[in-house]
Amino acid sequence: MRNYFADMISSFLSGGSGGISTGLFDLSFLLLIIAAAAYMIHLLRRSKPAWIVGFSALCAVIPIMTAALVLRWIAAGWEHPPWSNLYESLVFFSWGLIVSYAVVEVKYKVRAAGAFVVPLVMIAMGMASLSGNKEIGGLMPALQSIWLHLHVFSAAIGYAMFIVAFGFAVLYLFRDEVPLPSFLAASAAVNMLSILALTRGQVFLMRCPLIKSIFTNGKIEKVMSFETAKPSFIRIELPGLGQFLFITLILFAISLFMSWRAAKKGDEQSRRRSILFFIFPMILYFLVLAHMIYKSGRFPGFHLQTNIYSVALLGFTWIIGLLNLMLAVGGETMRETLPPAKILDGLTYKTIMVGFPILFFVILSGAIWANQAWGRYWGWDPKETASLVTWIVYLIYLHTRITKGWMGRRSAFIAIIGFVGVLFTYLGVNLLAMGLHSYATG
Amino acid sequence: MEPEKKNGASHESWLDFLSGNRLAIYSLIALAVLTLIGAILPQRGPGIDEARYQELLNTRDIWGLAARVGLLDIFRSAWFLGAFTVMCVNMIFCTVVKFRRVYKTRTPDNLVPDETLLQEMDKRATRQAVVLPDDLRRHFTWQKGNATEEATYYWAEQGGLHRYGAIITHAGVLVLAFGAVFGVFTGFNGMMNIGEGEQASEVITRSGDILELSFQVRCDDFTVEFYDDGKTPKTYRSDITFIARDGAESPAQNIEVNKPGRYGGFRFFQSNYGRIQTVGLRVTDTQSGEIAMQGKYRLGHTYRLPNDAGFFGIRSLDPNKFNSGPAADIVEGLRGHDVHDFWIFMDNPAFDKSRNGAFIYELTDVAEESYYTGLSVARNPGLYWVWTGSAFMALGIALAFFVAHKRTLIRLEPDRITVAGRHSRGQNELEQYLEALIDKITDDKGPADA
Repeated sequence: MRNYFADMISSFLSGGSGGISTGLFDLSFLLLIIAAAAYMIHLLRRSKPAWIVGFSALCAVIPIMTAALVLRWIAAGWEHPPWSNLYESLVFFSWGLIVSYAVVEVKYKVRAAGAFVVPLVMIAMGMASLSGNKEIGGLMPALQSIWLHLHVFSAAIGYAMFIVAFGFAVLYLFRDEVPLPSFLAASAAVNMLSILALTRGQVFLMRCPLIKSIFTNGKIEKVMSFETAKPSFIRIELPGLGQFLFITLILFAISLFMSWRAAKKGDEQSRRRSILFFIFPMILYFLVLAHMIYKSGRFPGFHLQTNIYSVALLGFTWIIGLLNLMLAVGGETMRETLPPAKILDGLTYKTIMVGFPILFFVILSGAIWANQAWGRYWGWDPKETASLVTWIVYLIYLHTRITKGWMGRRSAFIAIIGFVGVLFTYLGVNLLAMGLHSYATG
Repeated sequence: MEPEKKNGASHESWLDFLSGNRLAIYSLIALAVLTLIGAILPQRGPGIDEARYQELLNTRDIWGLAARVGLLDIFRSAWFLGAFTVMCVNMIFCTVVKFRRVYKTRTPDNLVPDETLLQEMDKRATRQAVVLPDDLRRHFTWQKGNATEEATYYWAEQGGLHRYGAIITHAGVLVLAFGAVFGVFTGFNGMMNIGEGEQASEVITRSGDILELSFQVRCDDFTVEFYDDGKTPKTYRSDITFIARDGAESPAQNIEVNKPGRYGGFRFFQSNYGRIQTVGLRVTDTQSGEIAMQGKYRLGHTYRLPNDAGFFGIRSLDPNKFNSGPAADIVEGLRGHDVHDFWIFMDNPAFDKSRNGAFIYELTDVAEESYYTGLSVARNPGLYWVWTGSAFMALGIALAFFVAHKRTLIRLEPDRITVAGRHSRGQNELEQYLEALIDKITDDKGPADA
């Protein structure tokens, strides 16, 4: 941790490319940690001071990040907005999410969703902080298009609306008296899936191969002179990680079973037990996360790069687990403090109504751009395909709601699946496959 | 009434099924699942090259099975096309049925608002008030209805176009789908590499076939600029001239990434570029002592030796091999011998003699570098349909999402006012809307619910 801060300060002071803006982003990250904690306390305790702290921190982050983004834009000689690599993409999407959330909160005066949205932004900014390449790079020629601006900007806002909708959907389910241990069961299942994805199914062999690209600077480049300019990948294993994840997976499986039974039984004792059984793997999972963060960037001349996605995946699922744990612990008293279920359901619908046309525009602008750059408007690139899946999920949400009159729980479930789709489109695709979206490589 | 309904029942249910939302939702779920598979599993083309795919088809493992049932070529599989067709059929029926319904139930021009209409509205609220405030008159075009002694009715409709939003969107999807399918069958997409100053007419298609264009494409000049790091290309462009069969040259076109050129119904995209390295070589026949070949030769190409003796190629160059100056790695395959490779040195022309081969290779000149431009060639007659469909979809989505259909009815009685309405965004929005409307009406009179 000490080193991290030292790095932060030195990056803040060094006048190198993006030095100050990087420092400002790190500052926003710290503020976001405060905001996330405050919003979570606000959800748990309904404490107004906590909300004031959280909202002020959030409001402070907006000008800081805006300034930092503009600084980066200036540093790039006004040639392109700061959207050229993974780091800048994460920062910009975080910015979009914060701004969108702040607008929704001010407009609808429902503060509880902040407990879901702000921690997710915090994770995204944390990922950005860990990202290996923070340089302001030039845009490769294919990205030099007016469509880049429209495409990326609308994507940031569209994704943000869906993430906010997800927050409302989970709160709706909570308000709608879904048995508390079900939240733990769902979260345990999601965490198990993320372990499977992280290890590419090799967790059963107690292995966790992390693929990382070689950062072409320093000594390594000279040792390995590659014929092509393409990034090369090697697999590494952090010792003990596979075994650790295997145990975590087993514990999550036990937790899943316990909470599923508790949800069925519905008595207080089994609820307590399910919470206890959920806490163990959560602690283990946090240690895995901490270990990976600690290890990243600690190989001389290398930076863990693709690994950022693994860290993000762990971070997102863990923080969602933590929130679900809060809901399960907070229990019935917390339920009553939330806005009525009907309002939460309506807000989910409203935010999706905003996100859906935007996502359509994102896909359309991407198609127009691809047609201009490569001569085909659609190429079933993994990213295109994943965004189409997400769009179809929300299409199902709207069709079931408008024509079949679905509301409430079933709609909320679809909104949550849609959120998984958004995460998959933005990050998951990059874990599984490489596409045309160059920020995939960092 | 009763028997009539029964008569048409079987016909109706059939049409209901084809145009119904259940079919729509099932086909959407199927498409979502299949598309997800396409996003996760590597696909034929971008993820798995053709040779590997053919190999997989005959493999007896889980991947082979996946390939045989079409999971590795999902977007051309019967599964995907089937689900897509079902969705399209559903949309055709849905669009027709819906259009008929919307058209039938549009507000007639001669509508006379009255008590029956009030009963049809979704929600109503009554407050004390006696006049219709002026700003309401300004914001709506009210249709005045029956005026009796007890009550006067006012009716307003806003955003009626909303109702056509879904229809236009669905029609747009159908047009787009037609364009996409049409484009697949009539379109064409390929690559051509042309060296600077050279011309070509052969295009290699995605499937590996070679197509001959009816004209020649000449690359007059190729430029690439790099960012300060010296590696990331900032921009690259080619000056291209098209030469028709009769020799007529088109004006030169500057083709850049994101700025395609057009000629003869094709579009040409700057797709990539590469370096061509040529070296000067002299090949001497050992037996006769005569020079067999001499000139510039490209790296990575194979050349035939005279008298059908075999072939040779230059595999790589090293500017300072073994600290002995520039050297080239020659691959030679002589008739009746194994293919082998060896190095020759520019600063030591006699070195290759010691190899005692059938030919002596001498490196006379190195590293003349030029670029080739990689153009992607496309023709897609379906494109106009695709953009038209997209435009319809954009318009339809805009109407459906950003235009709200509101119908408002006001009953004005001597001592009170009743407001009723319907709202396309549902009950919640309607309540808020009527609430706001009533607030406006009874602003300074205060609510007095009847």
